[in-house]
Amino acid sequence: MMRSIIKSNRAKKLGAGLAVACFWLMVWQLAYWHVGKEILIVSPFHAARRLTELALGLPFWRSVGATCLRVIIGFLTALVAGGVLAGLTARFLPLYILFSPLLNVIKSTPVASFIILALIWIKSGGVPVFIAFLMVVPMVWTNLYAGLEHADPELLEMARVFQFSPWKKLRCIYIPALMPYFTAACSTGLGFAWKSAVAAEVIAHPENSIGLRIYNAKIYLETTDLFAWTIGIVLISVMLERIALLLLARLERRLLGGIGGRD
Amino acid sequence: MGYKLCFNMVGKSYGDKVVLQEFDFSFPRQGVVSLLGPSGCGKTTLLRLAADLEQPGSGQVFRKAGTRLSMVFQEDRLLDVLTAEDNIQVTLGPGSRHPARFCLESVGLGDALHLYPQEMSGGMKRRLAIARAVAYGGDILLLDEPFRGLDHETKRQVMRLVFPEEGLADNGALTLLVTHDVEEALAVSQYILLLQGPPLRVCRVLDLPLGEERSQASLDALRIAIGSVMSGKTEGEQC
Repeated sequence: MMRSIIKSNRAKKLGAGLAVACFWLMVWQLAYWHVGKEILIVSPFHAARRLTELALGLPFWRSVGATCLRVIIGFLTALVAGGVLAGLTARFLPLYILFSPLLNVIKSTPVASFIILALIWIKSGGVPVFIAFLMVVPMVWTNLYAGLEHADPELLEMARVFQFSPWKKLRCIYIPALMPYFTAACSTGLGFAWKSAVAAEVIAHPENSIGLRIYNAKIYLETTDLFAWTIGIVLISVMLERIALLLLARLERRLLGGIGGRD
Repeated sequence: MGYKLCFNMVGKSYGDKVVLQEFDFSFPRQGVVSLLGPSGCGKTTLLRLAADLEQPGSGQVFRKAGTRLSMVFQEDRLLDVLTAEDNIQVTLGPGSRHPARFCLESVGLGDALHLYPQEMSGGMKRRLAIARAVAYGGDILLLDEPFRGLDHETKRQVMRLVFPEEGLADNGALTLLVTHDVEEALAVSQYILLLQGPPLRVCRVLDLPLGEERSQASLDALRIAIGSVMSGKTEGEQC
């Protein structure tokens, strides 16, 4: 009974998603018909066909792979740095006072300014990694800091009375409190890492990168390629986010599974 | 020194509100001590100071070195991510008194081992919190209105686990029981502290007879004594 309800809900959700996608594709197609110039806007079908053509060649996957790698490295290092920073600033108030203006400055500075600065400081291949890192750190820090602040003080007192070890406290109280914030940080952070890293690639144009392909498409007025790459970016970004959320759910189950009695 | 828990001229304030002022009291080494007093007189603060969850503003709270402490809070304070059994299991260590299953079965939660707190009723969660404190064991057991919300029969069942002997908690621990229920205090205590406040003060210490001396007549006399102190009739003399 329950299964059939879940299945029918899933089918409804999928149906609604398809209907929404069809609506926006129609709007795109109407805009294409209305403008009538391939150089300004291409039809969704032409863009999809071009994406398929590109995906059949090795250079496409080389660019996608290299960009993915840069995004993932930048994102993961930002997760670690943001996590450590959140832990330290939640524990030591002077550190919070010291770091919070810096992180606010990073949050409000246009990404282009950092990209240009980074181009002066480091090699073009490292710029997207650095930019993804820089853009995601404040996001992770803000989310995890809020999560740590929301750890239930009553449970922390209980843990103190029953002499929980720091590891047990982390697993039983902090991780469950942090998980929703961490998931939100990963979900928005990964999307942000993608956008900022590709923007950095467009300006820094390192070899084998989606950004360089987009830059070339713009230079040679290959609007169909530009649209095809953009669709590709969106698809890969959504896929990466889904994979990340799946891995997070597994990590959560693993961390909390069989917790009783074990340190 | 012969104490296990001793308050020495302890002062504690929250802002302008003075809850304890030069509070001086040495608790017996073992036995059940009920703390009876009106709401807001400072009973919970006393337990929190005993548990080292609050620091005194002045004076000192002495606990015998190496004393192990267990507590039932006013709130259940259960871990939502763990099952009933794991909520107890997670607290257990080398000095623990009972296995988790034994305690859960003793409070009538034998069938709820694998339930999560959010799947349990208020009464079940309360029993789980009590079972956790008993399983953890310790030299001092602090109970802050532990039986609140339990029906009469369940309360009796749970009390058998917490107080297996009249006037004595499990393992001869010192037990401080905060309660508003005079009958509850009379049923399980060796001593009853009648309190007033704030600032908290001990109006009277009642030493309850144990065994055969604990007759209905002696309990009736105690009921009258408690009633007169708590209603303030004898406040001038006693407090």
